Amino acid sequence: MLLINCPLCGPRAQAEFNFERPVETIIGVDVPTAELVERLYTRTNARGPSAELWRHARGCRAWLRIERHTVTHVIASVAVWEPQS
Amino acid sequence: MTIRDAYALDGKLPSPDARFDLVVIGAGPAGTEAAIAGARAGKSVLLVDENPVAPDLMRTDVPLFYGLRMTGAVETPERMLETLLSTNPLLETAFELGVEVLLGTSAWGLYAPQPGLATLPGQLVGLADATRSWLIGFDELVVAAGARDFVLGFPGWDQPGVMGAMALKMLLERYEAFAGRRIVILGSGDLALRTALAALRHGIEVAGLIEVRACVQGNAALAAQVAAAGVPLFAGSVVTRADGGADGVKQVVITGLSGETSIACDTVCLAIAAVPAIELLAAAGARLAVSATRGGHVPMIDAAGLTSLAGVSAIGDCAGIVSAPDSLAYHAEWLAALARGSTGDTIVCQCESVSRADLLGVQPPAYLGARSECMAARNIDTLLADGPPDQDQIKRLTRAGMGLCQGRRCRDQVSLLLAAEAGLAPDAAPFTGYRAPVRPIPLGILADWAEAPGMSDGWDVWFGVPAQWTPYRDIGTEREAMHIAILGGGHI
Amino acid sequence: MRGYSAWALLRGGLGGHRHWRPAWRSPEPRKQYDVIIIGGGGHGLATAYYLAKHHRVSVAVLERAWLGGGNTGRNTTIVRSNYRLPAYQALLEHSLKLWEGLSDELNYNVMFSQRGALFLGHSDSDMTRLAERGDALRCAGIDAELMTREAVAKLVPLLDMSDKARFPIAGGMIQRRGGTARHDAVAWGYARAADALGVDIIQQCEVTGFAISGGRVTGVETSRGAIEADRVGIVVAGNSGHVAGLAGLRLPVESQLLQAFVTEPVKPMIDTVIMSQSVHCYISQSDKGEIVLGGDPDQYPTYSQRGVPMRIEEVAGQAIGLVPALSKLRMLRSWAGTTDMTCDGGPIIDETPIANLHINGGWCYGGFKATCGSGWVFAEQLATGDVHPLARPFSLDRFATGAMQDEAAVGPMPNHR
Repeated sequence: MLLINCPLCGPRAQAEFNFERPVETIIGVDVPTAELVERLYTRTNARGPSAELWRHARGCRAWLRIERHTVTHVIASVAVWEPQS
Repeated sequence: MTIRDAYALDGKLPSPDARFDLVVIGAGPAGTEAAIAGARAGKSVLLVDENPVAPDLMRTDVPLFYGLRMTGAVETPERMLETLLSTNPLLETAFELGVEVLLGTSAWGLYAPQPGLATLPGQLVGLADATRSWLIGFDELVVAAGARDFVLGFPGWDQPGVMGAMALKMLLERYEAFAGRRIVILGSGDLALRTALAALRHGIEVAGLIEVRACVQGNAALAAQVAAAGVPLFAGSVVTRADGGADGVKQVVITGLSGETSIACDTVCLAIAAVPAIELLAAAGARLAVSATRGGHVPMIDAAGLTSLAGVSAIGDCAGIVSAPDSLAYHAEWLAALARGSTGDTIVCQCESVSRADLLGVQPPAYLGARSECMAARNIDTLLADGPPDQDQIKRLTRAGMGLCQGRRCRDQVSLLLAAEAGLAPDAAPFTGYRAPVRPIPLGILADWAEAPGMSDGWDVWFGVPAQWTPYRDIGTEREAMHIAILGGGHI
Repeated sequence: MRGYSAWALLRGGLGGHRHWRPAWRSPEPRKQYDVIIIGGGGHGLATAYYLAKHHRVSVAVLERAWLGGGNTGRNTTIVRSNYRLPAYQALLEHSLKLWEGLSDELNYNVMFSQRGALFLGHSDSDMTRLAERGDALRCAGIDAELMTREAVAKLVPLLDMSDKARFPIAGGMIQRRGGTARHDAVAWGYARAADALGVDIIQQCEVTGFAISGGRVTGVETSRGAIEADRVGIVVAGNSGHVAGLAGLRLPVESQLLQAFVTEPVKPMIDTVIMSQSVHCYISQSDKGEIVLGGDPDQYPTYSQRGVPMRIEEVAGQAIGLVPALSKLRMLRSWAGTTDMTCDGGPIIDETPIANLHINGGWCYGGFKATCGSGWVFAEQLATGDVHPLARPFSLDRFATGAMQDEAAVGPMPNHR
């Protein structure tokens, strides 16, 4: 259970949010197939800091970029997702 | 700009029910004083104590080893509350200082910031009483959970009337609800001597103290008081069995230098030792240490009493019980003497009917009916060839400690028996961890039904039953039934 | 150390048990084996057993701690084969058939109890999905029965069938051959039988690295020295990413935490396994009479070993929402395990890009039921170097070829199921 500070709604229970995927798996459409597969499906599965895409699915529905530690669960930052970021 | 959807659940999820500057677990002397000190320092303070414990829990020895020797008085919660208040005058002071006191409320889980839980909504403690369970936030938490009974088995210990010294003290001094009349006490340390004196004060007959070593172990002045009261000491002796009937123990048979002696009694009180009640701290992941002079497994605390969990401290007996430097060896001597005086079919784990031979033979529980020659081809020796004994492994294979009482009665003897068989010193005995919930809580009380009315109303919409196709604006109007009828879902 | 001498004399004299021969030999590791299996859980031991039984190879199982101490002992012991997609059906049905004969095969009672595995349907769309799944199963020759609301009520009278039910029940689908088994007996049964066939089972032996030369694995580094092998199999549920990482590999795997709970024992009240995929709750009753409850994993990657209080509350609520009679039962214990979640929910059974290094993992939270079949196919793979036909759909490259085995059809999102 995490408490996530949505930049648009304020602190909300994690149950309102969906974890979507690690940022590393977000790719453009013009990536060559081999690289696409590698980046889309394999995971660093970091035991430590991890940059992730979340969605405030049962709230404002914004896409969020969350920097989080997978062992301590400390959330370093929450920001509205910018596709270029 | 924003049109709010009345049925959206955002922002409706519950946060901790309340928050206190200081939460104290355990309203014994140490806990009550800590609560009073906190209130005097201007803090908002919550003091919880699981006593009076529900009678059905007492019957399964939660949290102390009551051995079914409580009177019918415990069935009346109002009377128990009054008695508890009258036997702890400090509670009145606490009330007057504005401490919120919740009796009959147990702490089943502690969740303090640490790796893995760092971003819970603050630090939380899970509480439950007879009707509900809830989470409380805190800045500081003091665990004053006291001590629990150190229990060793012998033939006949699995019947009513065999109980622990902490349970007896609770029944005599705080509940005024002890059903026994004539007791035999195992041990002769300070705990045993104080137990004997307390029993005598309450008009209970003490038929004798049984001591495995050659002489009395406790404080000389206390021993003199006990002797002056005419209580005999059977030194160099050990209980070989307790005989009884439908109401439990009727006599104990002890074996000493002069052979076998029978002593009539209705209660056998195990006062060999009390051990710190660390389950809440252990389940929360506090760092532990083994200390012979502090009674066994204790939380590691600094000079200020702080544990390894931020903001959480331990005081009183749960932080360590002053013990002789050879206290662990003393525990082991008792275990060895009781084991030598009994056969392998002596029960170790009452709940799962695991005998000592089953435990050390690492046999599956008898009720499974799965024993066979090939299953017999495992025992502690063969496991030891692969490394030190692991109490969690033995627990899974034999189910010792996995029954109704969750090892409250047998965890110490299981640990010592494994150490003995493995040739380990008692201070290296394997330790089984604790996990939340550390008290058995009914599912109906644990269940998280505490939701905003707005959530209950919208439940069928979220869960995906046919009403999900009904527009929000029509929910609760006569048009709702029409939608459901047209769009299917005739099953409800 | 007063008192310790008497203490030491106790050793061996407490139990009154006979001096049994050990269940296995606990050998010292040799310098070289044909096959090394990393991981002494159910899957690894089953692999070792079938390898030794069907193939003439020397085998060692290396276990970091003790046998069956990982996810083999941290699950809800449900066995079934009623999956939707043909690849799962084939592998898990093979596994279920092995379960049905396992006690005889191993001469060890694994207490496989075919009490039926019931999926609940909560809405018309749930029922449509269950009907479709049932049809697919029967086409594959696997038993499945669609049940009406009335039939479900009769089978499990304690379910809340009222109009005001928290989770309304529209019907169900049952696999009567499904059920539960005893987890430690599975690990021990396979271990003992494998040992009897000459497999070296080596505990307290942690793999710390791989010997790789020219793109081929030639052995492992362990806490008990280097061991050479022609082939190495990684079978370490919950730690696949970590162990594969020692060989420099990245897997399509995320680690998530799954909790389960058990109540006090009561008289028999639920004689089938109740599952709801919409609520994501499993309920069964153990031989002792405890009610075993499983819930959802935490839906995000985590290596935390600790459960959170909200999940306890949530699962308790789900369970009594389905079976109100559970309300008064006391929860005694909880446990948590790390699961390897793959991007399509299916396992990975394949040779890695490093020649002769094979992996069997990524079983998400459904590995226990597959123990036998997983061992069977992986044994053949490690013996011959070729992936068994039943395992081929679960190749590492299915994500590249697009031949994913995605029961939930949600794409590269291990969390969305």
